[in-house]
Amino acid sequence: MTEQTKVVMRLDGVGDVHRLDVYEANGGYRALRKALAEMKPEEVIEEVKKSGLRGKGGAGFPAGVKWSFVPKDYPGPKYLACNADEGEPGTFKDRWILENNPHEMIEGCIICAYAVGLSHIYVYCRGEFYEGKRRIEQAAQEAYVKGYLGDNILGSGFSTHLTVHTGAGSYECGEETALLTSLEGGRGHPRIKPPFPASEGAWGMPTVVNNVETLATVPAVIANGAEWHAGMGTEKSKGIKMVCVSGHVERPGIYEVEFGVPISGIICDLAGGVWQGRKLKGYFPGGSSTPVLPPEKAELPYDYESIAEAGSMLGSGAIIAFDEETDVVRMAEVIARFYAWESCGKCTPCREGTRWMLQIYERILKGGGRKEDLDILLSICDNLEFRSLCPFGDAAVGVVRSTINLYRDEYEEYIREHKVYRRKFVPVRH
Amino acid sequence: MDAREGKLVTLTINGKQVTVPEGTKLTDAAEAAGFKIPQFCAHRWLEPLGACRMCLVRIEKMPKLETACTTVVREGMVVTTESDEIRQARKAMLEFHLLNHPLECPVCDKGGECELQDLTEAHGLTKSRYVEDKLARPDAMLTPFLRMNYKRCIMCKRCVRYCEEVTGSHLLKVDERGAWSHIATYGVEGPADYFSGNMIELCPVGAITSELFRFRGRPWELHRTRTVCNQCSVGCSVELHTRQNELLRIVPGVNPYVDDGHICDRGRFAYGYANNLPFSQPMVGKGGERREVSWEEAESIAAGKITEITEKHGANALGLIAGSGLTNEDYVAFRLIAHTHLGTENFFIGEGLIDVSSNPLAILHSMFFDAASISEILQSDLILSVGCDLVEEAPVLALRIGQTLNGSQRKLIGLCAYKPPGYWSPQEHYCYDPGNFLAAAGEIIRAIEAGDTTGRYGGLVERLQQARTAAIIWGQDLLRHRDADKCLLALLKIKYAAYRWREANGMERGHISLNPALRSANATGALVLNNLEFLVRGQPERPERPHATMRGLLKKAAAGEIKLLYLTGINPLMTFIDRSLVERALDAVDFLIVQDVLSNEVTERADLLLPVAPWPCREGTYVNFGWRLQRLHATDIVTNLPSNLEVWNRLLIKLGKGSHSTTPATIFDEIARLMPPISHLTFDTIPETGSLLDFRLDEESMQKVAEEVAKVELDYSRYEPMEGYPLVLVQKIYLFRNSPRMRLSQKMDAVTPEPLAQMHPDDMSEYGVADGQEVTVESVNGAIELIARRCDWVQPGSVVISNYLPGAPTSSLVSVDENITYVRVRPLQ
Repeated sequence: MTEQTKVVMRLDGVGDVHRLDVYEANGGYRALRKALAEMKPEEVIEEVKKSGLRGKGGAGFPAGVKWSFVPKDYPGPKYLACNADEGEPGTFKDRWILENNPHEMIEGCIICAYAVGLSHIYVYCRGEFYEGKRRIEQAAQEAYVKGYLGDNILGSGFSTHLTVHTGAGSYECGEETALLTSLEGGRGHPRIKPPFPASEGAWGMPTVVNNVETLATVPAVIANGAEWHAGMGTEKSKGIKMVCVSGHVERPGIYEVEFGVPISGIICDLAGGVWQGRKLKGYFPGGSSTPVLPPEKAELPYDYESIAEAGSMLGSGAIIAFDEETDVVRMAEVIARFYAWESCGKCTPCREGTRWMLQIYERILKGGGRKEDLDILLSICDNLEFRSLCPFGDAAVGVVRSTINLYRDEYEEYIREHKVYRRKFVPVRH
Repeated sequence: MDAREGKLVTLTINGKQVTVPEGTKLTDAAEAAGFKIPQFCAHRWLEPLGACRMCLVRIEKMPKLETACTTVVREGMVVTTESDEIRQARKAMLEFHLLNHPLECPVCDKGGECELQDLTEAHGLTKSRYVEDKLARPDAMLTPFLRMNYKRCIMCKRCVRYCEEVTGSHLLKVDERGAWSHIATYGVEGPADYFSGNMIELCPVGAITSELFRFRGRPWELHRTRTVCNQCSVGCSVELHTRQNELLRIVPGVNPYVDDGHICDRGRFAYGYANNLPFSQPMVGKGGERREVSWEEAESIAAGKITEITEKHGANALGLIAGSGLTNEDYVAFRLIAHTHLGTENFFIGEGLIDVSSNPLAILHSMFFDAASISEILQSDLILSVGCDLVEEAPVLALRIGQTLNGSQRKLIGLCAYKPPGYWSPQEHYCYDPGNFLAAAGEIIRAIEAGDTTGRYGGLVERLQQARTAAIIWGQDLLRHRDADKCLLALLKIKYAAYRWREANGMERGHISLNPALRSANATGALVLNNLEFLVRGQPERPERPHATMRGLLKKAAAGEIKLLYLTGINPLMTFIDRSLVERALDAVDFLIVQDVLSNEVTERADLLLPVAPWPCREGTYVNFGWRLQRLHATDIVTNLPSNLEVWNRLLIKLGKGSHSTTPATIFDEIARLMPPISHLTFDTIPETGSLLDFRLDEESMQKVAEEVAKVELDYSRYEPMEGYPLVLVQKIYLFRNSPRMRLSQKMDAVTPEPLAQMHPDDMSEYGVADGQEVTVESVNGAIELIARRCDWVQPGSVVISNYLPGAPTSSLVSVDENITYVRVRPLQ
């Protein structure tokens, strides 16, 4: 029986945690006090490194290592950009933190700012998170009043400030360089790396970009120590992860688990299994950008390495399960449309390739598929993957290639029989 | 972006070792090794973007293919740019580019010079796998000259980046997202982009096309002639494309010492007049009596009049003026004919007000011996533009200054009677009181000497003291000043004050150069040849006879001393500062001969009009703003109009005074022998990029100049205000103006500014004038009617008016005998 291990979500169920007094009464800001009073900045970085905390936005890069890349003696200001632009279909964990436990994240931000010596925290909030933005602004206000933010925090001599910035509804702005460009007031286009944000980020200054969940885990790591965190999970994927389970399951929602629990445990024990007694046809292990895995691979342990070995990615931690009655071609079309519409248009393969794939899908679903279409789709995937400017292109091909490989017969049925999908949803732009 | 000097990096490209300076981009290193990497989005003027992905290469130890345009070379790098993998990747990227690109090369203006077309050919993409609907969007006009054909756009964003990174106009942006993203304007009224035409060549496909050239010809049918632009004194290299006796378009000729491939929109688009000439035959008589005559008859009339007047009143009753748009060879011939053959002392070349004879040593020193080349100006620590709106007066120079200063510590500082409007304003700007430059100069000199950096011009003073090299560019606000020579002496005093301060403070003296931003294409050449005797001798000395000045010549004419006025390529009614003096002069002369290309006020009043061939048919040389001698080439356009030299030669023959060469080559070769800076050149060996005229003096002579400047006494007091006329008139030059050249070219109305009286909001409320209201601007000399415009950049107490308004000539307000022009503005009832 797979159980949850609640760390970031430990206050789930306690009423009004978004209020500072409630958060403090439940042990909030103790980690910050500890860090400011007892630890030197380098020690905080060292602690986070030792804990094995990995970035939870998708790439899984060790947070402490990322922090240590920032030049220590940089003459100008340095920034933290908290990535709250959660836009991956199937992912809704950051939204929960912003709306229900904003102080946990703010505390993590301040600790990070203290450890790396950052003078300003920018929370880049997704444009559609109206409630989340309001909550985080309120929480920041309270933190300012209480002296957790601003000049000379808690008498330690350390100062940092927080600004909430809202995006305008672009998935691409979740990519760190596009986020920074958008934060600067530009068009949400990614930049070339190197230089990486840690050396040249927002307005050319060294900038740490971390996901909301990563930063919200930091207070627990500091409060309980690196060993406690490193003791959870697997050897390489240490600690815990909030998993968003959605799709055809009985109890969709967010479940916080240790790394290494079986995926079937998350789907069956925590989310109540596939709905209406049907069988699992496949699942996305990490959101719409990760290749689909078949039901045979549902027994895998939930960690970065095992899922990568199976040919997919843990991504942002969004398991989307679909049942045996799902029309896979239609599902892939929906996701292809998402990527065609969300491509920022900066680089050619992604801009043109995503729309081309969508057009082929639409034609197949209208009964106009040709036998060469599947080969063309696969070759677009080859031409697009690893050749676009940012990882968006790689994300866009995951579902296409994996569903063609796994469910080729369904595609062939559409093409052979000129099957027409009765669409309930009419696209508005072409 | 700049390759750091000194360090070299060795890398291997396709098995070939190549050594390049540190900081070089991989694309350039590959080119140096002999491998061309295709690219659409990268361009030498622009920061790398990495968007088109055409330049994907394999770099050893990198997991993915990398874009060469964004990669800086590293020691020991091993790169493959040519392999099956790379070819496949390029082909794939080309396929993506072609998805939404129409197959309309046969009707596309870019066909034949299109980068996408060339690469598609090279990679053998003959069949498309794309069977879906292509995206399409109706064309849009980005500017009056540029048509955006969206279907062809491959979203390389070169145009958007050019507007952001190079011109700074922010004319264009990207709208929408993904495959639906497209180039758009902001849709708001803003200052015009004077360099938008360069986006036509910048566009790698046929998306941005010239509205004037559209569907007029295919690139391979055009006859190409490289020559020098004749629209301003920057002297950009241009290529004239002609077909069937018609000038079809102008494109940049790329001269790294002058324009680096940028030309302004006026230079590019204001060419229609050449196909639309008003005169084909000489004309005799005024008004209704005017009739066309043969050249034979015209020459007889001219020769007869000249002989008659010389016999009756002496040779000095002949007055000759040549404008500043002719070639150097024309000027040489003009001098010779006027002085030697006709024997008059009343001749003048150019249209400036600078009276060299008042202080030849100091003035000529600054004009000839201490001017900087464009490259030197661009490398200066400090560039100071005085009384000048650079982008209007020397557009491409302004663009290149902006480009080199971008991201550098070096500075452009402005000092003018107004803050130049628009995005081109210098980062740091100081205003002097309108009309009172000399008072400001006095204050600056005192501050430099006292080491006082707290005053009104404190920042400027400090920068002048600290700059090791500085370039001063002084413009029309001083050049059109009655005392232009005093303004120049004041600038020289500033320069020597800075030298003294630096030496007194233990610093190296440094160097400050002075360049006047003269208006016309060969104004510098005119200056040289008007003062030829100084140069041939090599040392500036006082000439034996007083030199004629434009002002003196017109005054003599007005006083009736000159009976015959011969104007070549000049319309003093518009270009001279005092219109009433010109009117009086033209009224007083017995006979007016005008030799010009286009119709204007003086051609209308001419007793004898001699039309000559336009600029595309001219051979000769120009000297540009930065003292670069460049050669003009005639296109293949056949004309029945003679050149200036041919007219003068025939006239000499008719006069029975011998003949003169009609080939510029002979004249140039003759004069080159006499002038040390070009003595190594012949007409046919002038390099394509021109040759720098270097008149620099040795230390000893420089010392003499410094002493001479120190001896000059200047009056730095402010001019007294005038009762009843509370405002100071400030004249401003505009790139696009209602000149004959532009009136006869297409699409120019859209960019020609309205006749405006630009005033500060405070003054408008004080004198009861509303924005957009018709007003009379009145001085003691005259009045003109204009439209009032509210402008924050105008200083209170002044009104800024274009100096070229044919309907309302500003020069009718000015008298050449007044130091400052006071006006009043009243709403028109």
